[in-house]
Formats: sequence, structure tokens, C-alpha cells
Amino acid sequence: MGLVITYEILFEVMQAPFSRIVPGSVVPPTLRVESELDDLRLGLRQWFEKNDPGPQPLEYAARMAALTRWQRQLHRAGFIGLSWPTEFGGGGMGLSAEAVLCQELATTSMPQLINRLALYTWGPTILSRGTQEQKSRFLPGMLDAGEIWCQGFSEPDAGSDLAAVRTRAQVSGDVLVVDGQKVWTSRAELSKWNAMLVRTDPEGVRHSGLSVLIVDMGSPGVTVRPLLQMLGEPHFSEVFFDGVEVPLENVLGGLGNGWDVAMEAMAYERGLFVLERTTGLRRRLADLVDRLDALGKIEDAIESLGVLESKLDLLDAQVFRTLGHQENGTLVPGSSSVDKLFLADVYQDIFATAFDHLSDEGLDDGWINDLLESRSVSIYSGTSEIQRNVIARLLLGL
Amino acid sequence: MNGITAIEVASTLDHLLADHASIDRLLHAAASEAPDSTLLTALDEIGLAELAVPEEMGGLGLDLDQLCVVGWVGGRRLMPTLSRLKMSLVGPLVMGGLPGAPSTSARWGCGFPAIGSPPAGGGPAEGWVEEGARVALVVGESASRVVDLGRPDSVVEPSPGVDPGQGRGRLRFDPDAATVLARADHARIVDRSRVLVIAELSGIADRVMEVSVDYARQRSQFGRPLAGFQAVQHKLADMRAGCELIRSAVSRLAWLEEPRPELTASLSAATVSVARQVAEDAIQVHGGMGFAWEYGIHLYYRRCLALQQQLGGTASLRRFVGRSIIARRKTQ
Ligand SMILES: Cc1cc2nc3c(=O)[nH]c(=O)nc-3n(C[C@H](O)[C@H](O)[C@H](O)COP(=O)(O)OP(=O)(O)OC[C@H]3O[C@@H](n4cnc5c(N)ncnc54)[C@H](O)[C@@H]3O)c2cc1C
Repeated sequence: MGLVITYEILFEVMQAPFSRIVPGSVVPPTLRVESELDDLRLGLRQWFEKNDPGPQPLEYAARMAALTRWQRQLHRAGFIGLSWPTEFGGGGMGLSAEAVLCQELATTSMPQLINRLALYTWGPTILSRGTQEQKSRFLPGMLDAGEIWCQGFSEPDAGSDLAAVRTRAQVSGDVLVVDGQKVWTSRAELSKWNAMLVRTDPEGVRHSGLSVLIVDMGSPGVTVRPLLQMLGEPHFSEVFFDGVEVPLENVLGGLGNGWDVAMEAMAYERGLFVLERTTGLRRRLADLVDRLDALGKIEDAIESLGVLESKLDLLDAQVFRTLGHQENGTLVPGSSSVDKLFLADVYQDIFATAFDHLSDEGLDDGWINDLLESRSVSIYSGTSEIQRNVIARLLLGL
Repeated sequence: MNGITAIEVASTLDHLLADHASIDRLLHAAASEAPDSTLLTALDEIGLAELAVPEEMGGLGLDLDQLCVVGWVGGRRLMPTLSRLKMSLVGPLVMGGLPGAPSTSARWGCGFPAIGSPPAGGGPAEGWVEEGARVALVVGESASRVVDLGRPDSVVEPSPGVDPGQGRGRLRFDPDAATVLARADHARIVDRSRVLVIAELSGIADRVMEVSVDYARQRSQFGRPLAGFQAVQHKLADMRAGCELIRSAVSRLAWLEEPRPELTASLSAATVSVARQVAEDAIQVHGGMGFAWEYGIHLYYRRCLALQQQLGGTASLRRFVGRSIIARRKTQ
């Protein structure tokens, strides 16, 4: 008997994936930016108008210092950690408030948040997995950028294959003693805390026996050797650990649970982190339109600009859906790899298109640097190949 | 041909560049935004600029296909742009018996329409200039001329751009007031320059592809070499296919009986995009290493981008090609 596809069956098939995520819901949840947030939006705009720090210094160290000051200022004005509980200095609002902040920072061309790794990735992970003491100790310093965070995952022989980390941490009384090497650690030299994935059980194989440790970068035995990235800036470092003592209470999420904690952190990295990138890209697209217009070149670029704008809209939609799931605790493992994969695509497309259209005339260093930098987006926090592997494994079950 | 073959020249060049233009030295040049002057001198000394000069005028009389071989080697080793320009443009120009043009051994510069110059031409030129240069070949939108740089109305300001090791500068001169020493065969110059750019792209793409294949063989993740993952194999296969395509374009153009500007422009636009993709994939296959300064993969990418600019930008090349097919349909 052939299958007759009725309207009912079709409807059920269409609903199935959604109802599995949120029982009873037909439309997948997506983050909604409510109109109650209009006040926040307005407040931000007024504050930015008065406190616009202007163009940032070109020189790396000076720029980092200026960005740190900027976040501190925003924090004093009450705009940082909007979605965090008030008891840790947050604003007690929803994720949509954070989304408004991201959007407003970008549309008004304000500088980025220097401690975004802490705010978007490790803060939420500590809120979810940390002890009360860890929350009180670590969260406040994230907000005012008084304590910058870095993430020590990658090692020379453990890049895409993160479970191959070899840096060891051995329990000795009430401390762990860390020995080993990390590489490509962004902003290590500015950081107070390093969220590291280390092997705490020497017998542990691959994903087992790993732990996430919060390591004070000022501890004796930590050596930071800056590496230049493609633009010649010391953006990341090799970090060496030689008998570094870390208090046992700095283990996040329990000894031996490192892989799960790390994966949860990576999932947070996809939400607001990607949104922040997206809104930044919107601003650059607007800059591109202005530049082409000033050069009288806009006609030739209309179709390309249309492609970029609709890709950005789609990326936004994807990110808002992810944020919605994050807020509801319904994020399907693996689904946020789509965000990262598509982010890299859009990011690289925008600056490649800009280069193509501006290369006869009107290309300045800013556009060149953005193009070169765009090549890193398909590499950091999981390469595009790894995102595809994850999608194949977790979403398709292959 | 004085008994010296293009292969011999190419091999001499390869050795010289291997010694003098290691990745470390190229990175140093990029960081200091100036080419290595001892390298430029060494390249002059092997007579690069005389390669295309006819034998009766004291040159080696290499034909275009032979120059392409030399250009390909230059691409592989990221030879300074100015040396390639002297070989492909300045030499043949002098060969053409251009009255008023100084000899190839003079200090030269070579410029193209500058970024931001009015499209009608005339404005400043973006170019590569040797220290103490006295003359420059300026390839404009519609005319090419040899200009005296010794006059106060011409100025060279650094403008390092995307490929900063090349010592690129902005030549500012008033086209009406500047001393034009000679006018050159513009169409021929543009055409030849493009063919040599494609030969250079071919060398760049081949080299960065080989480096990537080697890296993928030697680096292991998940207990096996990167080259063992089909996703990586496909990327490398695309790179290899791209290299073959660029090579085909070089062969097609190097053996033409007479210049075909439209075909040359069209193949330039196509190959520069392919080469750029190959260089981007090379960065990707190298992972974090690909994004690091010290490993130098970005140098290949930067050169592809600089060559795209030198060709006049893909957008305008594509428009040119588009217009020529429209015009062809209308006249048929
Ligand atoms: C700008 C930047 C900032 C960074 N910041 C940090 C940081 O702060 N902290 C940190 O810990 N790390 C950081 N990294 C490192 C980053 O996470 C790694 O570079 C990345 O995970 C890739 O690892 P790798 O460099 O060892 O490349 P490899 O793993 O060696 O990969 C090389 C190539 O092989 C491919 N490949 C590998 N395995 C497979 C497979 N199974 N299937 C298909 N293809 C595969 C990869 O996709 C890639 O194209 C940063 C990197 C960059 C570029």
C-alpha cells in the first residue's frame, strides 16, 4: 500500500522536530526582544552619545588598555552582565537584554567588550556549574574587566583533537600541580584567569580524566611567550606551566568532568558571542555601503550587497533561535555548530566582497586587516571542518 | 640565445631566491615594510631585466613562454614584485628601442593607476620603486609612459598595502607637468604584464599547495595524519585542481601567436580568484599555524591579493570582460 501523504501527516512531520525540542510548540522558540526593552535601548543610546570614546588607538597595547577602560565605564553605568543574577553584580534580566546591548554597541560603532570570553562563555559556565564560592569569587571581576579571562584549551598536539590534551594536573594535598604547554591562547598576557582543560587522571583515556581548572596567570611557574598572528599583532601566546600550584577549589564542575564542562562552555560561546560578531558585521556592511556610495561605485555592487544583507539576516535568525533555546534550556547538542559554520561563511564573504569592490580604489588598511582577520573565523573555537563533523555526528547521527 | 636556456635561468633564480628570500627574510621584509635591498641587487646582477631584451641588444632574447617559466619560479619563491616588473615590462620596453628610455641597469620604478585616483587617469600612481630610482614606467588607464622621477613635482610616499614587504609607494606627479621621457606601447604592456601575473599566480598556488600537502601529511590529529581525513583530502584536491587550471591559463596565453587582450583579461580575472581560493584553503589546512605570522602562509595570500590589485581589481576586470562579450554579440 502506497503511503498517502495527507495534510495531517505533513503537519505532523513538520512539527516533529520542533515538538521534540519544546513539547507542544509549533513554532520553534526564538529569542524575542520585547518592547519592554525599549527603555534599555534608549538608555544605552543616550549614554553612548555622552560617553563615546571615539576611535580606538591603533597600537595593540594601547588599544587593549583603552578597551579595558571602556568596559569598566560601561559596567559603572550598569550595562554589563545584564542577564546575570543581581547577587553577583548582574542586572537580573533575560538574555534578550544582552542582545539589545550587543545590537546597540554595534549600531552606534562603539568598541567591543574586551572581557567577552568571560562575559559570554565562562561567566555562564560558572553560573551553571560553579560552587557558590566560585560564583562570588570570579563573577564580579569579569564584569568590570578588573580580571580578564583567557581560555587554555589548544596544545601543540591537541588542536582540533581537543581530547588529546596532555597538560597534566596532579593532586597533591589541597593543590593541583600543573605541568605542560598550551598554545594560541588569546590575550594570555593580559589575563588574570585562564580556564584550562587539563588531564587530572593520568590513566584517563581521551575524554575521561580531564578537568577544567581556573588558573591564576600570576602564579609562579607560568611563562607567557606571545606569538604574532597574521597581522603581526601579539594577539595570542604560547603558555608554559612548570610545577604551577592551583588550589583544588579552582576545579570547575568537579574533577574528571572536564570534557562536559568544556563542551558546555563551547555551547555558550555560540550564542551571545556570535551575536556580537554578527552585529559588528552589520556595521561594517553599512560602512561598505557608505564607502562605495562615496566612490560612486554603488551601482555595480547592488547585487553583492543584497546577498550579504540577506545572509546577515539569516545568521541573525539562526543566532536568535539558538539564544531562545539557551534561555529555555532546550539547546540540542550540536545545533550551535550551524551558527559557527555560517558565521565563518558570512564573515569571510563580507570582507572578500569588500576587497573585490574596493580594490580598484578606496581600499584602506582597515578593510585589508578585516579581510586577513576573517580567515581566522573558520579556524578558532573549532574549525569549519570540525563543525561539519559535529553536525554529521550529532544532528545526523552518522 | 647565447646558449642559455630559460630552464637554466629559472634554476639560477630558484637557487638565488632560496638563499636570499627564505620565509624568515620575507617576513622580515614584510615587518619592516621594505624589500631586502641586497636581494634586489642580486636579482639585477643575474640579469633578470635583460632576459627579454633581444640578443642583438645585449639581452637573452627570451620569448613570452620562457619568461613565464621564470615568472612561475619567481611566484613560488615570492620574488619581489619590482624585479618581476623589470623583467617583464621594463626590459622589453627598452628592447623596443624606446627613444629616451634609460638602460635597464638604471634604478627603476613601475607604477599602476593608484587606488583612489580619478578613473580618467592622470592622477597618482601606485608602484614599486627602487631606492634612488630616477625613472618609472607608469602604466596608466589608457597610456603608458616613462617618467622622470628626479623632478620635484614627483614624490614617492610609502603605501605598503596588503603585501608590505614589497616597498610599494605612491608616486605623485602632475601628468601635465612631469617630464615624460617616452611613451610606450600601452596595449602590449598591459597584456604582457597580465600574462606574467598569471604565471606568477601559478607559481604561488603550486607552492602553497605543496606546502599544505606536506603539512597535512606530517601533522597528526585524532591519531592519524590530517591527510587521512577525507574532508582535508577534498580541500587539497580542490587546491590541486585550481593549480592545474591556472597552469592551463598560462599555457594558453604564453603560446598565442598574437596578443588577445580580451582573453588575457578574462583569464586574469578567473585565475586570480582561483589562486586566492588556493591560498585561503592553505591557511585553513594549516589551522592555527596558518593564521600565525611566523609560519608565513599569509605571505602567499597577501601576494595573491596584491596581484589582484595590480591587475586592476577583479570587479573592473569582470566588467571589462562582461562588456566585451556584450559588444561581441552586438556586432555579430
Ligand atoms: C585567532 C585565533 C585565536 C585562538 N584563540 C585560542 C584560545 O584563546 N584558546 C585556545 O585554546 N585556542 C585558541 N585558538 C586555537 C584554535 O582553537 C585551534 O587553532 C583550532 O582548534 C585548530 O587546531 P589546530 O590549529 O591545531 O589545527 P589542526 O587541528 O591541526 O587542523 C588543521 C586542519 O586540519 C583539519 N582537521 C583536523 N582534524 C580533522 C578531522 N577530523 N576532519 C576533518 N578535518 C580535520 C582542520 O579543520 C584544519 O583545517 C585560536 C586560534 C586562532 C586562529
